[in-house]
Amino acid sequence: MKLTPPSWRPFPWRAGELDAYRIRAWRRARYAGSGSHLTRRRGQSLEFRDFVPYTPGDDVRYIDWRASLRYRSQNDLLVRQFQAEERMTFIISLDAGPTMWLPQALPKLLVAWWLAQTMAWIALSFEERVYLHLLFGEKEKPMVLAHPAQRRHLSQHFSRWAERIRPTDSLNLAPLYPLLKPATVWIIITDLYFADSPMADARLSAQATSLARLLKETRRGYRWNLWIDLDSWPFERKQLEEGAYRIEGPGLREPPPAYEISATALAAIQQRIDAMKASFITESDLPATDVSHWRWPTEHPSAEAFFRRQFMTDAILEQLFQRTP
Amino acid sequence: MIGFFGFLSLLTMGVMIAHMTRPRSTRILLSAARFFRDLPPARRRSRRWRLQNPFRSWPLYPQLLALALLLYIFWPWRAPQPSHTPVLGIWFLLDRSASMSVGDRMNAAQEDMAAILRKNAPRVEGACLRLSAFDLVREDLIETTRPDELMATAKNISPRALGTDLSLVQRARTEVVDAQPSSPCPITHLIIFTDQPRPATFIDDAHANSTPSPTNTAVPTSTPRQAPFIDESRASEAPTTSHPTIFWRTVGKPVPNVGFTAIEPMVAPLSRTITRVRVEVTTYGAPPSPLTWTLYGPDGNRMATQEIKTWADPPPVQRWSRTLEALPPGRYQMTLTPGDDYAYDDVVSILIPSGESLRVDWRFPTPWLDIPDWQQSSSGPDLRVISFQTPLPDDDIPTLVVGPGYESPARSPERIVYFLEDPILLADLNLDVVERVIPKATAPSSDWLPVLLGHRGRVWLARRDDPPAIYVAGLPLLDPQTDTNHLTVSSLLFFNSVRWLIHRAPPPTLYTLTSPRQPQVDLVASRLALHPEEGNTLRTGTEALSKLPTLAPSSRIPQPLEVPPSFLILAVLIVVALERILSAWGYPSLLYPGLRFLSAPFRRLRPR
Repeated sequence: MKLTPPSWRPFPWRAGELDAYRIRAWRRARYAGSGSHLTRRRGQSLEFRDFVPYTPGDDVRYIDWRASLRYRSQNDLLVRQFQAEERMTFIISLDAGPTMWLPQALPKLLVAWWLAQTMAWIALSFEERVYLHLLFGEKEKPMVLAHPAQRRHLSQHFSRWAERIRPTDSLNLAPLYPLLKPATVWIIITDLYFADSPMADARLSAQATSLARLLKETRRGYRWNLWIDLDSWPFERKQLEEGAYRIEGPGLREPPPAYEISATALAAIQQRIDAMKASFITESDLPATDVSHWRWPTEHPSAEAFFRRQFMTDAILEQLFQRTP
Repeated sequence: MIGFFGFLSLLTMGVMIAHMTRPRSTRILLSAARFFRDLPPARRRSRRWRLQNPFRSWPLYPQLLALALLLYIFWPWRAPQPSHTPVLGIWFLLDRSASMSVGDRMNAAQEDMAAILRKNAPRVEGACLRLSAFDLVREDLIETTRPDELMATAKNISPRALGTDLSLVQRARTEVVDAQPSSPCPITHLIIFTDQPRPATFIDDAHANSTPSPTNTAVPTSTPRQAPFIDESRASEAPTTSHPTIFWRTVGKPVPNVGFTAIEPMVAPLSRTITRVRVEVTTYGAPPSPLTWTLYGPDGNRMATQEIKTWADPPPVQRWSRTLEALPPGRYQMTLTPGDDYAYDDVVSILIPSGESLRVDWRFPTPWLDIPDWQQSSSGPDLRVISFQTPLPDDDIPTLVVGPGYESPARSPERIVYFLEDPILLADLNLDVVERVIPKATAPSSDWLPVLLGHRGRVWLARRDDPPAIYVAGLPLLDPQTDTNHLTVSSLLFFNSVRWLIHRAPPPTLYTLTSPRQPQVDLVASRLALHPEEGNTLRTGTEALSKLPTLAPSSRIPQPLEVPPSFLILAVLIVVALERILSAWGYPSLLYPGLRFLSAPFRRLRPR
């Protein structure tokens, strides 16, 4: 079996659509009553403006512990906001492993690539800094985008980034350590299939355990971690009917073994995938509100339509951009 | 046809069921493949019945393609099995040549056809009926299943002033034999209505030994033999479409006839002028008495008349001829009185063309030979005379190449070692005498064909056909001092050569024959119906129609299986090999949209 990366189809947004999305998110946040500080301009002064409830991703250095103890409970911290605010940093970690190159009708990597590109575009609109990181690679350094003008050549930047994709199993976390500063949002886009352990007695693979550990640590440091779960199993399950199949794909030996597919077998696989993901969430201490599940449609989808619909209705991503004025 | 499609349906259903009942291990590429590791392996060659949509299986399509190719290969070459429903196809061939105008022969043929249809009425209803008329050509008039329609067409057939070509009947029989058994109108019976006896060559191949000896079609010298039904000996056998039963229906009674049978021009030997006309009159059977021949001139006046004397006890065929001398140019008419039943040969009209001199382009240095009817002309000549030293022009004008002449008689004879038999070139020549008249030592080039060649290589005559040319050793030695041998031989060689050259062209015609394009006799244009043997009205039988044939339906005979084209077999092998390879290695996922498209109409078959 020889897999090839998907063909990088054009960015699926028309001109102005992402601007409309950004303005809509901004308006919703405004009507949510968060105060006038949402309209502040960025500056270099440290003039105090307001207290706001802490939301993940806020710089913990600006938590006012005293005020929090005075006015709120310990679990509801208050953050001081200033006229000038530290720029937020988006780290987008993309899993470009072989399982992400499938299914061939709608590769997960293509959707992840579009998603990363979309988030980078919006973040750059807000003059935020974006790091594009490959979750697997041989000490592959993240690519940085820091200027709104880079949106005009975003496709070229992403094409260069896509050229770095290599089939490898080594987790590429080391370059992230210096980047995971306060006021950082770490967005991981993966199907997490690499977390399946080949060892019968282990719940997660070594890579998944390392990743979960880092996620847990960063969360303890009040970074905001998001996991976009690209779940293509509903689509692949639909392709299988009862009977004998020669299954091939990453993680199985060659030549492809034949399996007797039944409803029971499919349910067992579903259960195994769910258990693996639940285990990872537990290990990484990710709250359910920070995990977005993108489930593949069961019929052969239009890639662009699926992506656009999924992005537009993703509440977690909307929340992310609401807090980014 | 029904059997074929039934067989096709059965095979297709078999393939479909095979794809529904035997789940093949479909290859599928999944990102979640690693989660299948712990599943139990598939049972091999499971044959469990399972209702599923067979069109979702890729191997179905190449298998159906291979099946269709196989059926296509064997379909055209597969002969149909003997039909359970007997077939009856009758082809009526009706002679409409000039001799059918005698008496009521055409009516008799039409009545006989109607009687055959009436006798076999229950069987011919709905049978394939074909009607053709023939004389010098065959014309297929109608193909129908209604006897009344066929008879209506037959009634409209009338004789034409043309001869009879019986090979057309043989050709029709060959068509029937060669026809595909699956043709829409398979012929099982061939019925020929004619006043001509069956030709000797018309023998059925399969029953040649059992068939009575054929009747000779030459001019009869005795009372014509009764022509039997050609296939009566095998009429009881079941006919087939590949070997049809043939009935030869000879209509009409023998009747005497007198008519012109030949009018031939006789041309001057050294020109193309018609000098005489030979007229031949033939009597078949007892001629009328008195029988008078009359010649009318171009002005319509009677020029000559003569009573034709016949024998008191005449043989079946007598011939009388007369040569007409020195007829001036013009149109002449000749009649035989009294007339008889066959009128096409009783009156004839001929045209004597205006005589023209032979145009000769004389390029030889020796002075012009003063020959009557020769005229010196260098433009468009009928004959060219040149010296052997002059290059032969490359055109179609007949050319006489004259050599350097002959040697004195003192030399020893030149023995002839080779001569080419030619009735014109060597006419009246005594080769012993020729050997004493020795040509001078010059021979034509190797592209000439020697006609007379001596042992020392001397050539008296040589010829070539393209362009037409004759090499002659010399001019006629007309000097009074010349000895007789030289005079005779040189003159004969020269003028034989001239005759050979100028008679290559066909002689002028006195009349034209009627043709399928112009089947009417026209005395003004000298278009006559003097087709050979057409006036021989003695050739027929008297009891031929006494028995009406019974037409039995036949079954079709399977043809031997032929080898189908090898490239089709190769195509089948390629498709099967491709199907096997794809089954072993998996179908490319690029084909999945195509599979979805193909199986889209059958999605409803998919069980829920």
